[in-house]
Amino acid sequence: MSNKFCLVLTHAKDNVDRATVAFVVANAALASDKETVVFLTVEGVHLSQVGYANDLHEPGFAPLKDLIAQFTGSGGQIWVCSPCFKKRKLEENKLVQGAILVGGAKLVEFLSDGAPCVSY
Amino acid sequence: MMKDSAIPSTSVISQNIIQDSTSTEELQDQLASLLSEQQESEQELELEDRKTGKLKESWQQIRNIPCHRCQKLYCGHEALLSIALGFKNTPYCLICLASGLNRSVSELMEQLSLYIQRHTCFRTVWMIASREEQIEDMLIPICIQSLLATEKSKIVMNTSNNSLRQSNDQSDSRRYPSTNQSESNSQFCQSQQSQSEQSQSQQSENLTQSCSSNRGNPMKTTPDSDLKEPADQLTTAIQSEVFDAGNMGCGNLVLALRLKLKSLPPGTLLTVIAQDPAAPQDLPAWCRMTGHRLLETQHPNYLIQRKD
Repeated sequence: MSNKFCLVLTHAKDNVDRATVAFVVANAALASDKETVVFLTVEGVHLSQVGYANDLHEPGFAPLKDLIAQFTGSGGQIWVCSPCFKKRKLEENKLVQGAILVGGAKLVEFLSDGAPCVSY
Repeated sequence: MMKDSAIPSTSVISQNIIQDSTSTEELQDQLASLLSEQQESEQELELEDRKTGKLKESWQQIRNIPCHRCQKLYCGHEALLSIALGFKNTPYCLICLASGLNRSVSELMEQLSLYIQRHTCFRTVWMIASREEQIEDMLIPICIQSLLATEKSKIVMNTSNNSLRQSNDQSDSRRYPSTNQSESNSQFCQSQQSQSEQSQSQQSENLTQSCSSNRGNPMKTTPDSDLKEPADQLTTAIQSEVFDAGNMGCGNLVLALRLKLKSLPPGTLLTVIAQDPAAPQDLPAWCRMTGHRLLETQHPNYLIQRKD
């Protein structure tokens, strides 16, 4: 069984519910001793920017910025889709702590040993 | 009824036995896999040892054979360089190799030292040569430095020798931007250029005397038609190319890289220039997956050697 866990998140402000649940599950994976990666892609790349999640709070869940801070603070990795990032003209110097820009090859390698991947 | 339920049924017992045997099988599989991995790594080491042994044997055989062209004796390092270029039976000294290939000694040495550095068996025999000659082991040992110094002093003194000057200029333009070894060569060349003619000649003489080989006077430097064969071998042995990927990223970058490497012979060194900010993550991952060797990384330059 692979010790890795990947979550692909394609939403940000356009669907705060999905974005929030993705990080809730990501924190559950971390708590289960999994090497966890949240892959931000499509609209999800906005979440890689410092301050973007400050006002995102889905009722019934913890505020998104807290969930993200909890995730990165516990060793979770945030990978940001490079072409999606460039397309939206986001800024590299505003990446949240623990976030890195990656391309397809990095994700493919991570999933190559059969790591499970959940998409939101 | 009570008695019947307290005793496990035959099917339950047999199930337990099957489960136990399954876990033993798993352990045996794991053990077999570990043993196989160990065996593979031992085989790799043995193969490397065999290659080194074979190379050392070839090297020792040509140690006392004079240069096929100028009939002068050469040092152990030059013997190894001759083998690297494919001359096992008809060895040439470095100067004859360079002139035969219509290159300067420094240019040829720059490429060959990279080749030596990348191949464990050649590196090992290179060290043996240094030990036998009782000189400090370096990629450009003192005996080779003497040849480079001789060449430099000749260039300075003979300003009319345009062909050698051009050859050196080409060497500069072809130099790898990201290899430390090349930089050290470059520094060496620069330091040589900054010295006066007199001190260069003097240094050249001193270095020649300190070399343990029995070298005579420098050879003529006109191209030799007898050495057509090694030119091809040199090209295949240490071919290098540059691939400017510009802003390509993600799937485009690795797909283009795959096609580029596919078009090159095995072992070729390719300097990839990739500006994509994800390249520092992507290219190492891609190389790990595909088996191509990532030799140096200094974003945006990546030195990749095509797998065999």
